[in-house]
Amino acid sequence: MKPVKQSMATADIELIRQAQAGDLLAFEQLVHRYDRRVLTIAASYVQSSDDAKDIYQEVFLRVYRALPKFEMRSEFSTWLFRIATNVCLSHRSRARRHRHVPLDGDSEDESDNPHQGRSAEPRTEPDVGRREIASRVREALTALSPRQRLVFTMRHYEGYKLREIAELMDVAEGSVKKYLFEATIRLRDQLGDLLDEVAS
Amino acid sequence: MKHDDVKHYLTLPIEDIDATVRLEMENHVASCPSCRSEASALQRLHELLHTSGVTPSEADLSEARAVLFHTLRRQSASPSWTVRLRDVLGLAEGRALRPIAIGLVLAVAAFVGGSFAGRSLDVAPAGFQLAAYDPYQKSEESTLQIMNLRVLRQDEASGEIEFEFEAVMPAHIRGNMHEPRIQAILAHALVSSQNPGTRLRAANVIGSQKDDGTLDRRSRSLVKESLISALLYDKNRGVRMEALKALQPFLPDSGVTSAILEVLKREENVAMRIAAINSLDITKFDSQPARKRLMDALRDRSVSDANNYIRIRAAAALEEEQP
Repeated sequence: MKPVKQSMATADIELIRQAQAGDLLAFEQLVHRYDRRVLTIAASYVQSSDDAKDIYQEVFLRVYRALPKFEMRSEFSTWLFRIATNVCLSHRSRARRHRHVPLDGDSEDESDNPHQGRSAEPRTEPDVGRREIASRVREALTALSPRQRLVFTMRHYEGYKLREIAELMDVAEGSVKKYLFEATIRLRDQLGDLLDEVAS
Repeated sequence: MKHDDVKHYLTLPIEDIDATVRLEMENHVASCPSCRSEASALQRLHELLHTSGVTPSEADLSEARAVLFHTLRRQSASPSWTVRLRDVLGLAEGRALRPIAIGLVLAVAAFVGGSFAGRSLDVAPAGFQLAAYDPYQKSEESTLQIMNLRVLRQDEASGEIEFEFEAVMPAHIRGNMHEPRIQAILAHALVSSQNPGTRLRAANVIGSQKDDGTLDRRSRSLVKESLISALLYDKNRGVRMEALKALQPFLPDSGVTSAILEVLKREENVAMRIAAINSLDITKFDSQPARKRLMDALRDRSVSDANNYIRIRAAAALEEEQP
């Protein structure tokens, strides 16, 4: 038997072994441990909840298929998030095929659709402002290259260390620094007017 | 330290900057208004992004889990047809091919029973294993058929053999008409199936979908090309006719127009030519690149088609267009 990564959580090891033996419930428990983070990364990376959920499905189906070959020489979470990273980078949006519903539940084109079954509660001004800012931020993030966006998302929203991101993306740490720098500068340039408003 | 260096370091997490460099940078920022302004802007950027960050709702998470677990349970009960076929043939991923050349033709034989309401790919239970295959013992589970076995090479002394065959396995597809894989399967069936009934059903199913503009460009193109191919080259008139009907929503696309005009000009079957001319609504071609070709073809047909109706129909269409 090959050596297991020493620091891996014992509970993880047990669940992985059971899942590798075909125990679906054990795999579901593993999913429950990590899936919120996977969905958060996906949601930060793509624009719509549909796309985020597509990524979520793809990640865990890949993990499920590859689990029998997982030898526990790295952390399960590292392996999982590396797969998540790859899926994000190779993801193609299905924007053209489906209407988008952002994750906060607000429809992008709700105002154009009077038949949508929602309560017609009036929005307050701060809500509108917050939505507009969120929309601008999303646009700005979408304008980044996939790698810039992923690095920025994982660092800023998920708090990963640069070394960890480099490991997950299988690139040099220097490349991660470069992507982070480029992403930050582009975001600052694109959101410059909002930053001025925040300052005033 | 230069301004550009400071600008670079300011984008990095503080813990990733060497202590000496950090001190140098802090001294620079304290004394440089430009870099101080930059630091302040980046601080505000991080605050802004933090407050506008997106966190998936519990409902999203629950839905994603439900879909995943449902898929896993189904897969666990019945592995995908590609995996199963690979297992059946002993072609594990990454393994070199055994000295057996295997020609695979996957006949998608279950279009009729296919349902297109959901979004998943499903497979009827089979459980066929080549290793346990006993041709003399009929089993309801043995759904994979070996057809057209052809021995390429056989060495009686060593026992080595190389052969190919067609492995035909029924598949059950469940998905949405707008999914590229569904479109790809139907398009493939339309142009490659040897069974005219299968091709006819494929054309019919493609033609019955609503063209609400949500089909992705690649699928739309694939379907269009398959229908054009069927219209021009399928030996079965019923298939050609179904393809012609299914191409209607694509008009006044230039390629589709050319294909229909080709049918109008060269098709021997009168019913097909009549269907072709009836399908060409001249009003759809205003300011379209294909308009001139259409008018030329109508002029030609109005005088030279062997069928009286087509000549009259073509002439009438031209007259309507006269100022």
